[in-house]
Amino acid sequence: MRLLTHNFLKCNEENCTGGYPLQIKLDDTSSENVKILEQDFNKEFVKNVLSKVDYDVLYNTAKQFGISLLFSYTSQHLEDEGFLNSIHHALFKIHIMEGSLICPQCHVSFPIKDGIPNMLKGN
Amino acid sequence: MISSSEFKINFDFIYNDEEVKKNVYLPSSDTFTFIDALENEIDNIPSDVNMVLEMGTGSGYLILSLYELLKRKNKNVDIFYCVDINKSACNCVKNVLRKNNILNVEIINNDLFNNIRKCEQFDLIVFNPPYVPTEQDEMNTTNIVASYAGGKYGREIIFKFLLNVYAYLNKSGVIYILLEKNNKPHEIMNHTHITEKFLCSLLKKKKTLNETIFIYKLKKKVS
Repeated sequence: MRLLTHNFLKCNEENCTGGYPLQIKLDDTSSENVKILEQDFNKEFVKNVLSKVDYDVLYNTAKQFGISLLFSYTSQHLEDEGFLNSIHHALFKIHIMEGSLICPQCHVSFPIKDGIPNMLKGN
Repeated sequence: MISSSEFKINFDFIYNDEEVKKNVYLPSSDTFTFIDALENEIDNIPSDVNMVLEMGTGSGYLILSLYELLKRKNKNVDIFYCVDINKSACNCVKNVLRKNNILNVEIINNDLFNNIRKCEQFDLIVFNPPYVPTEQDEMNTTNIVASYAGGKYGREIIFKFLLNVYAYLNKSGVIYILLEKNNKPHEIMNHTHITEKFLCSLLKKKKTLNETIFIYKLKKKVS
C-alpha cells in the first residue's frame, strides 16, 4: 500500500465521523513490513496528483517514514524537480506491506497484509 | 527486446491455482465481450492516462487485458487501482501481477467506494458488475457470490456504484460499464441522476444464449 492510497482512505464505520487520516501502525513481527520500490517519475502526473491529495496528511505521514517534505508549497515549487521528486518518493515508492490502519476516532483497525489493506467492516 | 506490440500478459495463474478456481470469478463470455469493446475504444483513450480504477477486479483478467491493450499502443498509465470485496480475488490479482512483474498497481480489499475519499482522482473507471438478478439472501457476501449477485433486477450494486461514482472522476473522466438485459439498461441510462451527470453511449451489444450484454461509455458532464 502506497502513501497515495493511505491519503485516499478513511474510516467508514457506522457513526464514525472524523475517521481521517487513519494511523499507520507497522507490524513489528514482520521482517519486511515496509519496502521501498522504484517507480518511473512522471512530472505531470506528480503535479496532477498533488492537487488531489491532502497535503498536510501527506506531510505528516511522510515524516513517520523519515521523509522530510516541504511544510507547504507554492506554484513555483511545482516547477522544481527536486520538490516534485520528493513528493514522488513519498507518494509512490514507499510500500506498507504488513501492518494496520487505525481510525483515530472509533479505533477500529484495518489490517494490511502483503501490501493489501482490508477495509471491510467488522474484520 | 520485446517490442510493445508483442507485449503479452501471462494469465496462467488464474487457471492453475486451486484457490482461484474455487473462490474467484473466472473470465467468462461477459469478460471477453468487455475486452472486445475496450479494444475498439483504445484509440479514444488518451496517450497519457494517469489513474485508472477497476471496481470489482475479480481475477484481474479484464484490467490486465486493458493494460496489455494500452501497452501495445504505447499508451502510458501511471497507476492502476484494483478494488474487490473478495479477499481471494485481491490475492489472485496480486499473484498475477507478480508473475508478470507489474508494479504500478494498488489493490484494496473494499466494498465499492466505501472508505475512499472523493477527490476526483480517477481518469478512467472500469466496472464489470455483479449483474444477475438474485434474492436478498445472496446479497451482502464477500465471497464469489458477490461476483454475480445483483439483487433486484440484478442492478442494486450497479446503482450503488453509479449514484456514487461522479465525485471520484476527474473532469474529463470516463466510465466503461457492463450491463445485462435483465438490469433494464435503458431505464438505468435514462435515470435523471445519470442523464444530468453523464453523457452516455452504447459501445457494444452482444447476444449470447442466456444473456444480452451491453457495454456503455459514460463521460462526466462538468457543471
